Amino acid sequence: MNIIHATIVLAGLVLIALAASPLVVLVEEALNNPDILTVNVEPLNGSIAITLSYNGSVKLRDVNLTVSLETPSGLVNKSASTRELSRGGNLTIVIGGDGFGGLGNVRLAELKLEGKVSGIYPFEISYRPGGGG
Amino acid sequence: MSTGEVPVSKRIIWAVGNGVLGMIYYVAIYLYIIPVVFNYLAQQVSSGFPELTTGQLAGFALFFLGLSSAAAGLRGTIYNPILRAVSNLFGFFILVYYMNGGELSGTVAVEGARIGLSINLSPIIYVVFAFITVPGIIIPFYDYYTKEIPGT
Repeated sequence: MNIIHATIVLAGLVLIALAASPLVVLVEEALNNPDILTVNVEPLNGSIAITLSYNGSVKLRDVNLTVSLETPSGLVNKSASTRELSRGGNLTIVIGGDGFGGLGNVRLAELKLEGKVSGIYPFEISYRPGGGG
Repeated sequence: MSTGEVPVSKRIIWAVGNGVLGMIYYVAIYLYIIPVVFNYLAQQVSSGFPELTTGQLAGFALFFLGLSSAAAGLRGTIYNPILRAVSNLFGFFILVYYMNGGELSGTVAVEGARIGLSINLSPIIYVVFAFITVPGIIIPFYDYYTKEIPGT
């Protein structure tokens, strides 16, 4: 191995450390703050407002939140997306209106969050109540 | 001594010594440093990537030792850059195989609910390929064609 090769390899290792740093920061924050990502479900004039709040310092890009609800008229999917979600950012989905069948008859089937950590690493988080097979 | 030729035994010792250095480099880069970064991230998400057993690690280390020793012994011939390139490619393939291509997923059961998390760490693999594997393939050939061919 000559000097040029050693320099490139060292630069590569530094780049790997830099590339991994947003993930390391996110992981550390998530371990220290369980509320880094919270979901609130609130009734809103006969509808339901599902709000995702993010409290991390690493930016999430191309974020898409999808909610699947089981209603009397079948499965209802609704999604909301934003280009960027940073500290204190929210993403809200309001579900209601036709085919909704009233709040008492609705059951959450799945909540799915997709996006990219720092615009680089694609991720997906899904929440299924009751084990959701 | 009629000639200035180095005895075969010394050449073998020199080649094996260089092979040990090569083995340390490949094992450190492809089987230790980069997997440590991946596993640090992975263990927060799931049970992590599968770790190499001692037997597998020893087998890969011996393979790298053999390739690096052969490359050192064949210095000055075209086989030297070829064997060094093969070592780099082999190391990269081991990394990709054990890191599952950077695809990581896990499921956690919390209060009767199931939370699934998946993340794609392949951008780190691209950096490894671009900055460690590719130079490790190109530079030995560059060295061979510019420094070791007589008359160049």
